[in-house]
Amino acid sequence: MSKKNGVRPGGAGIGYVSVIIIFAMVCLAVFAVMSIRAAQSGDGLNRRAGEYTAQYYEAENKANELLAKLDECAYNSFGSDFFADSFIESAAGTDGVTLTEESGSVKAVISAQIDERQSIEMTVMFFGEPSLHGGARFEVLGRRSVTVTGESGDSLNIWNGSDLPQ
Amino acid sequence: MIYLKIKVSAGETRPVNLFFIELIISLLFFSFSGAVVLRVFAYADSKARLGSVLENATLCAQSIAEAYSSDGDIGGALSVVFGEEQAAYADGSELTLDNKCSVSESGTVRLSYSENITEYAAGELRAVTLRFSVSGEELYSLTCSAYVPEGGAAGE
Repeated sequence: MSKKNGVRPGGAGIGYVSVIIIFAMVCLAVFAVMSIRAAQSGDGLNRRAGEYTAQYYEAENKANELLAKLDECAYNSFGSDFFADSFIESAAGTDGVTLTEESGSVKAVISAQIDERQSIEMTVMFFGEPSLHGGARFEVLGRRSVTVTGESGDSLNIWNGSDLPQ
Repeated sequence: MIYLKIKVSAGETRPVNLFFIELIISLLFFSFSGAVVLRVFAYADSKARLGSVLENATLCAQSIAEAYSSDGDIGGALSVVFGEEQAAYADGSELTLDNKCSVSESGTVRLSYSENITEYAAGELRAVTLRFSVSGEELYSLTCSAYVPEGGAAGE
């Protein structure tokens, strides 16, 4: 600092406060942006999980609807001489259903699409003789989610623990 | 460096201290920017809370759907999920829940359900639609069903 006309220029250093304030605001702004991004990504994940759950139960609703139709066919087929043939004939036009006869009973595999990659499969056994099964017309053997395989179909060669080639 | 001087009297000047002027301007800038940043933080917090409520609602809906699909009884399903005493708080077809989807009279989440029955020759296809809403806006909905045959089934 220089003296001029006997007067000393006053004031402390200028700029230090501004630098600190600007640095603090930049840090706060970065934290705010990061918190927004975290909240949005969490919200997106929760929405996707909720949508998949709703789609899964939509598929299960379709499967239950097909089960109701098949049970109606089975109910109407009990009066005929050959239950399996009559049941398969009456249920033949139902989409998403695969029927196979097994010793007088009919096994039905009901398939309903969850999304473009997965579907739900319900396996049901319709009995030709309900009296042998406590009066029950059918039994749900199981449900599972099935992944729709791609068109390429090539599988990877996995080492089975045999000797390594030399 | 720029110096400001105030002319006090003829022939006499006094330099103005810029430090306090800078401090005032910096504090003004800090207060305005801080207000904006605090609003952003509050928005992120509300969004995170809503996401948490959505996650709990999804799990609750899934639990009710699994309990309902076994026998098609919505009252029984609510008893299984919330407990018999809590399920009794159901006002017709609505239930008030808190943010963790537990029954609470002062909660902000409302669960409403409606049942639809389709008659078939051999049984009933029962479907129930669950709707979770916060402040009147629908947050999540799910429809589940159960087929109840006449004469029953052997089960799974």
